[in-house]
Amino acid sequence: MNRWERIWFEPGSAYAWLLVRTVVLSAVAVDLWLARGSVQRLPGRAETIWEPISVLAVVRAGPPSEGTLRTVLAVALLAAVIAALHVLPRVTGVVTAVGYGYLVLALNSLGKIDHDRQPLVLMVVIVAMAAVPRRGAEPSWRFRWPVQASRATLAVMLGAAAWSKLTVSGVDWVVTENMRNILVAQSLLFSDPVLSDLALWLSREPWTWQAAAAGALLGELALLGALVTRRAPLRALLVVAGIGTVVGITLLMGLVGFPIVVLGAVFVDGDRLVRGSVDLRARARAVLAPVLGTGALVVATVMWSTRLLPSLPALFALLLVLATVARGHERSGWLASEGRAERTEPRDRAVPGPARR
Amino acid sequence: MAGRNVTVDGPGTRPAGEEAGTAARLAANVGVTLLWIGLQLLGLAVLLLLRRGNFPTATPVLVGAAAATAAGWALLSGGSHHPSTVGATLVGAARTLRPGVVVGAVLVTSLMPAVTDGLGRTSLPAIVAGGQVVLVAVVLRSSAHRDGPPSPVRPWAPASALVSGFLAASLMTSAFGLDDVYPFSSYPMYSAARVGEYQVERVTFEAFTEEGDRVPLRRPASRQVLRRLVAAEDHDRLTRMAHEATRGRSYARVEVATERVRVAPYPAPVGVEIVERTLVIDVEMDGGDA
Repeated sequence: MNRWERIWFEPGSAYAWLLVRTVVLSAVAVDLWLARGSVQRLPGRAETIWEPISVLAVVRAGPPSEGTLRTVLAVALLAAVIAALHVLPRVTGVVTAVGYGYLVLALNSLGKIDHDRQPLVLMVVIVAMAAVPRRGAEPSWRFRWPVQASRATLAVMLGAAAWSKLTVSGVDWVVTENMRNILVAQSLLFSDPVLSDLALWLSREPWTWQAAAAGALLGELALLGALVTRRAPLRALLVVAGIGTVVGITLLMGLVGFPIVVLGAVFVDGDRLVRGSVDLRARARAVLAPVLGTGALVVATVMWSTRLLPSLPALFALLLVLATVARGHERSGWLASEGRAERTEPRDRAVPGPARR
Repeated sequence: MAGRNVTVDGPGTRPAGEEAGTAARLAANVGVTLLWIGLQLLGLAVLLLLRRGNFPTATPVLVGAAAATAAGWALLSGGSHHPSTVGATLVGAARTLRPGVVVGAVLVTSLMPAVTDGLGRTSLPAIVAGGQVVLVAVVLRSSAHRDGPPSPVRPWAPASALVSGFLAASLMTSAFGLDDVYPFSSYPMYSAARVGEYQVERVTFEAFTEEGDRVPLRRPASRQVLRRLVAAEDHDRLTRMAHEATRGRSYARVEVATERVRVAPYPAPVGVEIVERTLVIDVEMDGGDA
């Protein structure tokens, strides 16, 4: 395996992919539920402005009717919830991707593109295309690449945003009064961020707003590093820096927010969590998938309703609990999750064995 | 693919044989086709941009071409991305190349009207044909001079192509600061530094009750869309948006106005002030029935 293959196709556990898959699908379900008002108002707005984008532009789609939107919304929401619960995962995953993709494209065809959902759209497409974690599946590249690809969608988005700042403004973005103007405008004109007092405090002295600007820029690049590094402490540091930046932008500027903040959970190392957890009684094992799905759904909802801050620790606590439950499955063979390092083949024979399907 | 022995090493991979040979042949065919289409489109787009400036479909063509090129390369390398494996795949691959070239020529020819948008119809077929000949010559020369084991096709080659295509499209979008091709974007929001005195122009919707009380309304569309409508003096649409902004509540009228707001510059205390307010349209609400 060369470096490219190690990053994307090293054997990964079915559990790690199940974890990411569940986060993605539950985020879609919550997003659809939250966006139902916007979806229902769409026909009225489309009468004023309808500028279809992407696939809708290619097929020259007209504005959708109210009935169409309600049907697609209901079907996609139902499919997302069922898929998050890991019932009929292949079919419901595809239906979710198609329905959610259509609604997001329609919502973005009103004259302005909202970038907040782009990683989630890409992730749900990955869900639809990738293998479904099955009972007894051994660690495989089939479960590794979708996890890494989901992480890449978020990392690439943030990295591209940082690159834009560097190419458009250069060091001026950091060393001038740029961040002060952004923080003040966001706090007093455009939105009401949770920590607006802190944002205004940061705007008082040059060193504080310049430090915030530098931190934001570096933080946006951090997840790209986390995507390729294998050293656990460094990776953890980069993940915390990257997700911390997203959370900081949400709390201080009122930007980003759901679903991107929730999607930071895809950077949790599911394999490592499994290895570090303890066994549970066998009867708990049968409910792993429903627990994963509903748990992630509840956490994502709570994160939204409480404006994110208090529930972030809850998300990671829940992931730890789920990992503990999953450990039982691993030992019973439901989801084999041995560490990648133990299963790495000699250098010239590093292609994994066939997954038992 | 006679004479092309494809071996797939590593424990648990499929043994060399007819099935693996078919998969390898398919991967090579699709890879060559994608690479060819991608390079041709890239070349055409760059030529058009140089000669004619921007054209309407430039961004999707560039992004799609980058994705196709990267995906084709990944497939030709058997999923590994290593140049030597691409060369090994192309050894003796003349038969593989033919269908790729034919399919690519058909596709590019059919796509050409969209690409050219009515420009340079006479010279572009020559460019396409010339590019095709050059590519075939290069590949055949490469095939003739290379000697080595054929490239193994990893089972993850399709996934590798998919990931490569995504990364290449993202890279192309960011590197050249292209417009959005959803879901690809260079994410330019907040990238322009707000240097010096910072003034914001915004469109506001304010409702008035029968008693004259003022009620700020949530804006019914994005700031960019509203500014665009105000600049175009599109009062019909703004009136419809004023009705939508009331969300069914009863008001006597709604004022749509533009405000220029100034952020107090450092070292002044943090704050904002309205510099200028201009009424755009005053919408009577017909007794409050929105």
